[in-house]
Amino acid sequence: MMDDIFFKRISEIQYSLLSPDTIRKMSAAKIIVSELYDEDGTPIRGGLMDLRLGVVDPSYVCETCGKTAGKCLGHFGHIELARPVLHPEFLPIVKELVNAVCHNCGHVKLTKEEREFALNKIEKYKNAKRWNKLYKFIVKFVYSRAKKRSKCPVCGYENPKVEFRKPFHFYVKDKENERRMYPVEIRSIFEKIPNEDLPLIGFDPSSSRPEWMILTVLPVPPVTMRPSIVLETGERAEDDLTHKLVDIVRTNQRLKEDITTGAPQVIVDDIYNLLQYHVFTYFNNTLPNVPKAQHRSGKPLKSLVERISGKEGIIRRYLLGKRINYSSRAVISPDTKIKPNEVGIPLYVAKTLTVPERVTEWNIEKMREYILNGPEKYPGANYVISPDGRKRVITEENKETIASMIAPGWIVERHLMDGDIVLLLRYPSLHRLSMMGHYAKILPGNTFRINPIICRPYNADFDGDEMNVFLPRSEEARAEAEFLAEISNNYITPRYGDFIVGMIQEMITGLYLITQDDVKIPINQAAQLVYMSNANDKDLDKLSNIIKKAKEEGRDYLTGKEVASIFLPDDFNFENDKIKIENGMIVRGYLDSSLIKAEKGRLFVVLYKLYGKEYLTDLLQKYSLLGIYYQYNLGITMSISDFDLPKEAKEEIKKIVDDTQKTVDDLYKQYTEGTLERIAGRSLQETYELKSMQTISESVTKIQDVLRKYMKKDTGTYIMSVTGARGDWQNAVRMVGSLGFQAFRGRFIDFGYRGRNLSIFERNVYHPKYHGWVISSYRDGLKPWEMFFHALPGRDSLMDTAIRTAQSGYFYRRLVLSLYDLHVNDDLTVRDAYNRIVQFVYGGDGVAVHKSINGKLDVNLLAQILKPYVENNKDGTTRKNKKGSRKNRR
Amino acid sequence: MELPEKIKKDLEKIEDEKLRKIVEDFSYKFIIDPGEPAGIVAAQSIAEPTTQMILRSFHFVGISAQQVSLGLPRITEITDAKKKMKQRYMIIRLLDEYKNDLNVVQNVAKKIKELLLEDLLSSITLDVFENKIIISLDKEKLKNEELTFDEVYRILKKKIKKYKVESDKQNIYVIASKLSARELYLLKEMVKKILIKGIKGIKDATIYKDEKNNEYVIYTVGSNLLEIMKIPEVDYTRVYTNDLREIEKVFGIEATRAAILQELVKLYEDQGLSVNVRHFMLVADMLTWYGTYLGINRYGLHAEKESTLSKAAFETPISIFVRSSMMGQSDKVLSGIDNVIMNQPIYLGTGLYDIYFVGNKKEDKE
Repeated sequence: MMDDIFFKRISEIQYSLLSPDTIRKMSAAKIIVSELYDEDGTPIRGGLMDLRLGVVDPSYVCETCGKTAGKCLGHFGHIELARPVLHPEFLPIVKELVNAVCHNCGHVKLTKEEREFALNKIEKYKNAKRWNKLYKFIVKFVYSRAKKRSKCPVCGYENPKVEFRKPFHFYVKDKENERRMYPVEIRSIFEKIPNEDLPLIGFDPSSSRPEWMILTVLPVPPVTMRPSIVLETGERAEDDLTHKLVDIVRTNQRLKEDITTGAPQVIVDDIYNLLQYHVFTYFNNTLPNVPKAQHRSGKPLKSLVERISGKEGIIRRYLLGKRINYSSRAVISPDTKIKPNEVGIPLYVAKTLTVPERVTEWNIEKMREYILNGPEKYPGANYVISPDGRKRVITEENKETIASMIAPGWIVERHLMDGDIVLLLRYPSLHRLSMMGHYAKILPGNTFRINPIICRPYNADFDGDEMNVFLPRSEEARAEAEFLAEISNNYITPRYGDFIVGMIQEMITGLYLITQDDVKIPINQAAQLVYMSNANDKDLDKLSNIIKKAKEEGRDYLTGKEVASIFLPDDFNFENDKIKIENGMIVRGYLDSSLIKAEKGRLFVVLYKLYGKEYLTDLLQKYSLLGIYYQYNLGITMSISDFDLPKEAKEEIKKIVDDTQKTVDDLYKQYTEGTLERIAGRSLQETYELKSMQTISESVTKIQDVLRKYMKKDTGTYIMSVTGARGDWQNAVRMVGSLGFQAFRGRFIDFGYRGRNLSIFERNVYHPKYHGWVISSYRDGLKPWEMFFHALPGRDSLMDTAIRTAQSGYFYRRLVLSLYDLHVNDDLTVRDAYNRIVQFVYGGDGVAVHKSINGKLDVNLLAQILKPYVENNKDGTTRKNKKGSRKNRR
Repeated sequence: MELPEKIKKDLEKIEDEKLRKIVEDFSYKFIIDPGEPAGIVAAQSIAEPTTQMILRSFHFVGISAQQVSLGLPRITEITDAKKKMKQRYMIIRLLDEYKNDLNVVQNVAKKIKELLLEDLLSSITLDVFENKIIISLDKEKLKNEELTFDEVYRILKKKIKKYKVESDKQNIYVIASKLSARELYLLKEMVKKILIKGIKGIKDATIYKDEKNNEYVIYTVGSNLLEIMKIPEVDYTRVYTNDLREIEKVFGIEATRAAILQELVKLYEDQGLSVNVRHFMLVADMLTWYGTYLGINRYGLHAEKESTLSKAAFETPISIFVRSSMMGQSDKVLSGIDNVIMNQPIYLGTGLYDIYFVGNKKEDKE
């Protein structure tokens, strides 16, 4: 099987029109009969299901190539049309051209000077491959000039004006007499166009002639392109194209007979128009002004054009979207105990997805073991492929025989095992971090497991999200998945150059709390924490050193900072306004969201650049576990009493609301009296709306300050928001303060009934209280009308989101399709597919965002980080190049 | 491979030689890899956050007197290279000697505001029998604009050269004896739009105090870069317009590129979305690469593509195939989409390079 396939690269595609001769030459059969099958159901020779056009029915063999159904790709046939017929897609060009050339001599109606000028221009554009400019020039210059001229500058013939009438008639005025111009005549005019004039009208003489735009021979697509389906009832259902072709053949035969028998002109014309209509709707059934060809049921037939174009067309559906085997999909669930660069895969999936492994003399024993385990027992194997390419299924019965057969050179399709690289994908794949490589970890259960710290790049949560797993099967694909796509190579996002993975939710809280100044953890508990956080030998050494030091100092506890420092390298130094790390120990400050949170993670970027991906993968997990377990031990939780406010606070809030009300009342008075000073460029009403909305939003800010002052500081909610794990002051204000103004598209809520938005209000009172101001908070509960005010913008924003996703999806498509060819060359220039330079140095400095720290190469920052290596007389660059062994591999 | 000049310059600033060497070696870790699909990365980095964009509600009071398109609509406006932009505006700053003088600023603002004939009319009627247009002016409006009847008459006489313009101290008549009624109507519409004073396209001008730079600035609705820059009081080095087409017309393509970059950066910053500037640079470079400012749509950048299949994969494949076959185009299958369609490895990333193994044995060529 493998020997049949030639690996050659298509290096060039030439486009041209099909000439009648070419169509006849590539045709395997001339179609003359409109019937498809005879009485016993065999395809009729010369009919549209002719066996020479290829086969789809497994009981026949192709008469042209001798192959069976599935193997035979199909062969074209042809129909000799009784009269030339217009092609709908070429009609716009025919319309222009028939008025641009001389009907007598066939020359384009241009003067000598114009001709020379045009030819030069065309030559220039053609050499530069500016096809679009070339086409525009021809339309703007050649066609428009030649069309206006009736007298031919070459032969002096006075050309009549040809008029086009929908859908496909041409009329010509000959001395006040109007007569129809048939495609035959147009074709004969086009035939006269000399080859040297062809470039002028956009044609390339070596590949296309204008008369070929008008069909004399119609190619018939192979049967494989329009297979018939046998329904359950035993009836045959033919493809839409076949139906249309039957119409064409039938009409064509009738036209031919009528012409030969000398039928009256009116009848011939009628049939001719019918044939023209059938050909039009065969090519394109969405033409304006042409009635749609329909099934008997009234459903419109699907034409050739509809097959190709659009989102569901051949190009976008099948040619650009490839479908594959060896993939799986399942719901995801979190697992903090697996590494960030692993994915937990259910046993059931692992037994179905198979990895092709070549048998060598070194692994043959192992392979035999897998085969003997069979498809059911894990780790087993499902298939073997012998060197001649034959694939054998392993069953309980034949597994012993196969195990004895295999030899070096065979391929065993073994089950997926721990350490195999797979690609993990979550839709929508908006950036390249939506599909990354992970090492498989076979686990019981039925879901894919991922570590929650990698949720961010996938934008995943666990409320029922599903993800796909693909198995790269060739050695190249595996290498790329492992060394390029693997997640630890992609910790830094190419969007802005910070760590995209990192701590989320309670991990941040835990780490924030453990690094506070006065945290004392008894030694035994500290050791337990470190052990639970997946510590390795090096960490334990550091732990014992720290404990030793603590005991020397007479302490029976470790500080939280010491515990958090255990996982840092001994020679690491870092300093900013938040934290100071000296020789791997946190000496000042604490870890908070700006340093460790996903999408920020400044600390991690620096560590990543210095110590490499293996270290970081471990560190991320250790820190996440440390954070989780620490906050778990503390027992941080959230309750409604977190929002209890003292009396003074409530009074202050009430005062703020009352003050706001007064101001707003005042504004309303000014507005009704018309004394309000207008903002330049805005109407009185707009000014009033803006000012009152501003007043109310200021009141919300004031309430926020009150909450800051009075809210209990030792509650779970407060800690959560201070650490940056979740929630902010805006949320707090909404919960206990006041919701503020619910603007609808930046304005008051002002519709519904006449002069009011709810029937409970008085008419024509344009006061914020009745048009969107929600004074209550979630905790107090909303008044009925406030509930409606609150629901309205919420609903609006849902609509808005739905529309925006569609818009931004289209924007994305356009942007990607215009930029996808740009790449960086080995001289750091950015070039397109044709090697044309777009940028001389990528981004001006050649720095890759996903290899940078915060999107830039800050030499000063580097000098600061790397300084210790000068003092210690070490080479800073070599240490992170140490070859890390992938410990999770078998 | 050598480090780019820009980084080398930065490195020279480090005094400690040993440290410089270490930093220099380390800097190579930041340099982009050959084969990196910079275009796709840029497109993804820009398009991915657009789903998170918010349509901003009521936050400015005072800052801008007019609606300015923001977020996704504005991005599409920039990348589409729209000829007729919806909300054009300018920010005009004056020369140092005038910038704190409110009188001068007010004068300029008044001077540039466009005043059309229709703003002064009390009525405009057609006399179809005598083929003339009767224009009568509103005295109140004239007074407000500090104009006299004669001044308007003179301006009209100067601007309408094709037809005779007369006045009887009450009304102004435009006499066009040869026109049909329909043509006369069109002429009326045209006459209504005649510019009496100010600068064409400047619909409104408002003054704001820029607290940061301590100066008065003029915000306008509508834009006319060239004319504004001609005003002597205006500091033409600090005039801003959001109309990129106009910048192209006045300053040329390099300025347009810089303006696109600036607009995109500002846009994403306003939305609070962090995107590295390199990605915007690539988009700005691509939009202006052909020497004219082309939009990312089927009439702009996509139409200029060489490869037929790449164009067809975007939109309207049939007309593209028809045109290509007519012109007898040939494609070298180099582009990414072409190769995907042909089911061949693409020339990007690892596909851009081959690995050759130089062995000792001479092997037969295939």
